[in-house]
Amino acid sequence: MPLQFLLCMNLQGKPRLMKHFNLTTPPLSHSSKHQLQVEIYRLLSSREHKQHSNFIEWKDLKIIYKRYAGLYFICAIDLDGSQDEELIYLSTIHLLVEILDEVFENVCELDLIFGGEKCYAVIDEVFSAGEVMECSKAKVLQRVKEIELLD
Amino acid sequence: MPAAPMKGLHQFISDLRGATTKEDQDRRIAHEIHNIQTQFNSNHAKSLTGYQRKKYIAKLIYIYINQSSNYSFEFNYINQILTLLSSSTYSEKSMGYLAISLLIDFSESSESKVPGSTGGDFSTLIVNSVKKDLNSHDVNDNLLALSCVATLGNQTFSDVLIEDVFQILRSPTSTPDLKKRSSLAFLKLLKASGVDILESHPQWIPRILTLLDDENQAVVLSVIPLVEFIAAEMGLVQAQTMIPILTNKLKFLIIEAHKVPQEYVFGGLSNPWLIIKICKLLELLLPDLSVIDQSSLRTLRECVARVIEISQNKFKDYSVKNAANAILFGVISLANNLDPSTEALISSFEAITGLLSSNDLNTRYLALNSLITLSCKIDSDKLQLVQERHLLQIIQIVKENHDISITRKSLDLIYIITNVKSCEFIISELFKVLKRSDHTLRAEIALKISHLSEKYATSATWYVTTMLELIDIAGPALSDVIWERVVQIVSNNESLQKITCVELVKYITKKNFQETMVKISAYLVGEFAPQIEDTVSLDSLFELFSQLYYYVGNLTRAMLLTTFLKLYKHSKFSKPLKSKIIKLLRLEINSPNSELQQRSYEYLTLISKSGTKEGEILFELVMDEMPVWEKETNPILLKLSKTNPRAKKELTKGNDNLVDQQQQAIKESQFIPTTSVSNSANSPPSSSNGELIKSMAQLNIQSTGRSSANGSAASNTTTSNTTTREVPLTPNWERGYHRLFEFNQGIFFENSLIKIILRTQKSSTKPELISLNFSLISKIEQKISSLIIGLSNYKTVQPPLLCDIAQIPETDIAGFGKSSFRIDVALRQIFEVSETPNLKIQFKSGTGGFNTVLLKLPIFMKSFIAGTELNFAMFLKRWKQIEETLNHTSHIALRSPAPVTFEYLARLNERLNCTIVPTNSEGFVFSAGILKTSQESFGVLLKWKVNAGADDVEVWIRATNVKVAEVTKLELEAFFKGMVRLGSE
Repeated sequence: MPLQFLLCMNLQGKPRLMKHFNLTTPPLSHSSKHQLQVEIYRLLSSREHKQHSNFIEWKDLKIIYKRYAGLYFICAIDLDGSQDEELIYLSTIHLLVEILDEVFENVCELDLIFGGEKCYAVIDEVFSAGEVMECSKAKVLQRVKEIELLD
Repeated sequence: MPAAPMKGLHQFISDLRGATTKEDQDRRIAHEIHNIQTQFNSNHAKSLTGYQRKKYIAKLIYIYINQSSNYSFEFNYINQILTLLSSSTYSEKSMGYLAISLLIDFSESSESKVPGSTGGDFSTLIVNSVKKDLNSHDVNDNLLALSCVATLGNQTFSDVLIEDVFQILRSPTSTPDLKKRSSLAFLKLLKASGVDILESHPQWIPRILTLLDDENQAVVLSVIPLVEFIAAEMGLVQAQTMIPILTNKLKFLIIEAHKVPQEYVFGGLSNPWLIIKICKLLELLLPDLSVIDQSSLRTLRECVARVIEISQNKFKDYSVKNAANAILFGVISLANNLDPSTEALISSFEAITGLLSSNDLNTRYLALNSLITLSCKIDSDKLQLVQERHLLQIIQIVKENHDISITRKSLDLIYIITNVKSCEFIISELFKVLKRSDHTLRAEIALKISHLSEKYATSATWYVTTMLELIDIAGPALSDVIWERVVQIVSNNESLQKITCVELVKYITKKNFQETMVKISAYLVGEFAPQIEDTVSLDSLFELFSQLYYYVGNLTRAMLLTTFLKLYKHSKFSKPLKSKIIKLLRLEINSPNSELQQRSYEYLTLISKSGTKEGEILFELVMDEMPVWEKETNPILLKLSKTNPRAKKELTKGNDNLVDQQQQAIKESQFIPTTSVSNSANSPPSSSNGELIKSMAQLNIQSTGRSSANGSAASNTTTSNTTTREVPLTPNWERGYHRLFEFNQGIFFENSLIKIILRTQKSSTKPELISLNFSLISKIEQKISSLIIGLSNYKTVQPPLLCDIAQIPETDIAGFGKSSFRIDVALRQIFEVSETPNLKIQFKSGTGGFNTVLLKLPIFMKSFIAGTELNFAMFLKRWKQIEETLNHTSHIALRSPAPVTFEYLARLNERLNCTIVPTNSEGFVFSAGILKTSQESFGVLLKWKVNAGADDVEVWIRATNVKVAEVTKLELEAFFKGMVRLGSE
């Protein structure tokens, strides 16, 4: 099951990264994307780490999220036919965070704010068309380095 | 040189963050947008440097993401993005692509949404730019363009770009980065435009399939979703040839994990992503085990065992443990396909219940998920076993958990494993949960209770009391379908009407009554009031309802107005009651609600007119008893099926429970109506038994339609066989084919790369069985890889020949090496030459050239003939017998490539497996054989006329079956013609 979108927001619900894979026809409008963020934030902020799993079935989406310090990393897949894929997406989120962590040397919210471009480069290396395209941390880091030297 | 950091952007962001108030921020943003707008609009917009352009767009992106994605920039920045796209500086181009994916709203037609775009279709401009980059010589441009296609790909993109993307995907010179990106970009385009394009380019599919064997793990990872999509949309058959390759990959990752390159090891686990993806694809490709060869099956089982072993390890790192569990779930799911016996499923079930007590909520959640899938596969009567052991545990989870997802999953599981025996207990437990649940969960539990109690009710009374209790507890959370269903069932069952009405009256006289209960009463009590007149008089019913009237909403009021009118009808001789009713209706004419106003007005008119003859008839007609409900699809099931797999299955299976109920109804005449309630002559036709069965039948038709739409493997197999165009046989196939008619062993095919030697072997015990033993010999120095074989033109429905790939070749062959494989063929019935399957061999040679060889399998009917010793007298007797019974002789004159001698014929007959009948006859040779299929045997007699030394020969064939004689004739004819033609080449 491909990702519908990938989202990163802080604990106050401010979005920091957003990547939609536009799998619906027509794709979501700007205002429905915004609406999604607001509603997902409402969902997440009411959950306690200790008492809840990292998965929410919500509308026709399955939301897989993890909180890292002050940031939520969130992905959403179609509820239909997404059996048994939650854990691997959770690992994918972790992989993404690990990579960002190396790219920015101990990543924090400010890095996402000031280094947005680089973050999207990383996301583009890991995901494509909503699927995980590259799962090797080393390969992604290597490619991100290459890109930096391109200009 | 790295791109210079954008100081202006950083300054802007810092300024914004420094702003203390929201107003201050907004002001700064407005100011910046104004600035950018001026820059972009001014005359010197063209003279902006690439860096400036990039910086301004970056600011817009920042504002869009971080401030509010609700901003829309009402000025023309599009042209600036397009300029960035065509920049030769990487960071500028990539900023352009980023801006397209974020800033532009593709939800509506591009013209209307893009402000200030300078005419022309904006989409087309982007697509053209992407096309240029796809065809650029710079790999980095290609990669950016592919990434854009994978994000935004729609119909327009597909129309213009799909061929370009495919060229990158198939090119042997593409780097792994290009391959992985183009595969997913291609997938995105296919999803956007549908698979029609593949139907007109059938040659694309094998090229995609072969990429599954790429050595780069990321390429394989990216090709799998594409293959999955193609298989699901276009039939599994082609992709099923890849099962051995996928099995090998899995084996490499799991059994030979130590060989996996370090960059693909995740916390000690070899590539969890790839393992899971392969398992999923295999699961899809293996709807049953008939399509997998024994050796692959063995390997897969070995992999499963190994993964379960690994999962016993303790992982310290949380995310590694997650990945390990993810692999475990994926593999167990596949294992259920490898051994679908109930026993195996139950033991999987047992294994997973162990995870239910895990402290980790994620694991618990997934364990429940797995159990749901599993229990849907287990027969419901076998579920009893697992249910007895684990029911309490699962109920406990529901009660203790705070996580809504987990609670939901447990409820789903409980719903699935409930059966007649446990139903009452489970429902009483669910009631307890219901009482302390929040609104949304209540609605879900109520649906489950109501369907379970309908499905497993042991008595109708129990059903009614349970449902009323449910409605009383769940109250407003209840979905309307539930009470409507109760109304349906009660009005269709005479035996329930009285008791239900009595109960209902009790509920609505309670202090804290539920409005839903009033709705049901309004319908049922109104309808069946006379039945309870001995306990509650019509007068007191009216008193009750007219009191309630002021406590309920308008919808219920409207229903109650109808109830009053019904009471009016029932109260034939009670003048005081009638006048009370009329009084109330008159009052409601002044209701502020127009619907109530209208209703009361109409009802009053109906009453006032009922004094006349016509009016009386009209009144009777309108107020006739309600007809029996005919709706057969249970709306509750419909609703449940949205989330619950078992309910979905029930629904698509043709409504099992309805059938059950129907049977039950026939037995106990309790539920679903078998007789009409209404006796009045002018009532609409009630659903008699026959009607019901008819509608059941319709349901079944619908559901089979649905299941085939879901893509059941069998139907897909046949359709894809008929729809995909057959590729022509590889030139030069014929020589080997005819050679193997004459000889049991020889060169079957040869080209510049490979040589195939084939030996046909008859089974020593079963004459209807032969084995084709192939040796594929490489003639080149480089490695041959991704070797796969498959059959085409193979009828899967009642095939006359059963062909089984008993042994598959090694997928890789070293330079000048060889690999062997075997196909076992069993003859079931007589077949024609056109029905023999083709052998398809695909492989990559050397540096990536892709080869396909398609050969007609040399399977002849004569291979299944066994010689029989006859003396001449017997031969003549049989010859005549066939003449008398069938009156058929196949006759043919053949031209032979070589002079026909007695020795030649003796040898030929030996090849035909026919035994020569000893005679003294000079000009003729006689021979006989028996053809055996797995079902029956036929005698075959041949008479050969020889003109010594000439190169022509005549044959008469008689067989105990006309078709056998004809096919033998055709085979001989094809052979001789082929030999003559090839000989003269």
